[in-house]
Amino acid sequence: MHMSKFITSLFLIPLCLAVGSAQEASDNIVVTDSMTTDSLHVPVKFGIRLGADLSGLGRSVFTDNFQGFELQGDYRITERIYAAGEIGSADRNIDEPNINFSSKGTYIKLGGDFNFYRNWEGMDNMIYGGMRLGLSKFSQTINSYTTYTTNQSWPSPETISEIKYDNLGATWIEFQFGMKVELLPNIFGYVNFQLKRLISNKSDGNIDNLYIPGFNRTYEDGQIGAGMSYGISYRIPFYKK
Amino acid sequence: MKFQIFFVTILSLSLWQCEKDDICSESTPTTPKLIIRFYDFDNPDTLKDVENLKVYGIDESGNQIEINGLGIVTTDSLVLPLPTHLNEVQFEMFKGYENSETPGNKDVVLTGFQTNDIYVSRACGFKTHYSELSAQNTADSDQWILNLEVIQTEINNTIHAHVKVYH
Repeated sequence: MHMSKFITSLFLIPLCLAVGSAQEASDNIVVTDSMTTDSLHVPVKFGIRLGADLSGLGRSVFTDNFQGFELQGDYRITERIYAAGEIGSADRNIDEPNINFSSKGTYIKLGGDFNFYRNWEGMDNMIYGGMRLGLSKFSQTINSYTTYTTNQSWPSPETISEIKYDNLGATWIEFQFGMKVELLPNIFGYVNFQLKRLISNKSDGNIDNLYIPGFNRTYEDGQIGAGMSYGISYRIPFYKK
Repeated sequence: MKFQIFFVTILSLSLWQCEKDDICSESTPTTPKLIIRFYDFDNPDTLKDVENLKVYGIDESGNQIEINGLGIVTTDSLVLPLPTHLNEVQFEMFKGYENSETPGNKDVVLTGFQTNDIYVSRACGFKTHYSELSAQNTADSDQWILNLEVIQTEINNTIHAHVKVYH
C-alpha cells in the first residue's frame, strides 16, 4: 500500500514541476508546415538514440572489482512507444567471506519502452516503463574459498583455486522504470531501475551462477534480480512527424 | 529546467544503494564430523562408556589442538572435527583424565582420509567431504583401546557412526 503511494507520487512530482517548465520549453518549437495544417498535433522528432552507461564506466575507473561497459539504444516507433535495447560486457569480482569469484561475459537486452509522460510542446522527455528480454553468456571462476565448518578447532586456511566454468548462460525478463531527459538539444541523460526475473539459468551443476553479466548478482532462493543504470545518450534525428 | 532538477535528484538517489550480507545458516549441512562409538571388547555388540575421556588433536607440527566444546566426558560416542587441509591426523585419547599433570592413560589414534571440497552456497562457501577413511591405534605399553574398526569409509554426514572402538 505504501509502495503504491510512493510510486504514484513519483509520477505526480514531475507532472507538477513540468507545469513551470512548459513556458521555457515553448521557445524551442520549430514551426513547420504540418503545424499550420493541423494545429492539434505538435510534431516530434523521430530517430535513433544511442547512449553509453556511465555507472559501469565509473565503477570501472574507481573500483577494482568491476570492468565493463554498456551501450544503450532506442528507436522511436510511435510518439510514445520505443523499441529499445542494451548490449554490454562485464567482468565482476566479488569477495564474499567464504568465497572469492569472478564472472565475465557479455549480454544483450531487447525490448521496448512506453513513455507515460505527456510532454508539453517542444519538450521531449520520458518517464517510462519498459520490458526487456535479456540474454547473457559468461564464465565464472572461483579464485579462492574457505571450507565452512561449524567447529573451528582446526585452522581452515583459504584454498586458492582456479576452478573455471565456461559456457554458462542465462535468460531473463526485465522490467525497467526510468527517465530520459533532454539536457541539450538531442542530448539526453537517462537513469533507470531494473527488476529482473530469470527464465533460464544454465550453471555448471556444481556451483551456482553467483553473478550474471547484465542480470547482476543472483540470490540463493529466488529468481529475482535488480539493477540500475545511468548515462548519456545522443539522438540522431531522422525526421519530424 | 525543473524536470532536469528532478532527474538529478533521482540520479543521486540511485547512487545510494546497499546490499545485505548473506549469513551461512546453522542448519545448512556443511563439513561433516567424524563419529566414533565405543563398544565393549568382550561383548562387541554392546556400547560401553569411556570414563573421563579427554581428546586432543595433533596438528602437522605436533602441537596439541583443543577440540572446541569437548571437555572431559564419560561417554560411548564422540564427535570429532577433522581438518580440511590435511590428509591424516592423530588424536590423543586420554582415559581417566584429570588434568595435564595426571592425564591418565593415553592412546593415540591415527586417522587418514582423502578430502573433497564441495560447493555449498554463496554464504557458506565450500564444505569438505572425506573418503577412504582409515584408523589405527598406535601401539604402546599400556593400551586401553583394544581394537578399532572403520565401518563407514565415506564421511559425508554427521548422522551415522564411522568408527567403532573396542575397549
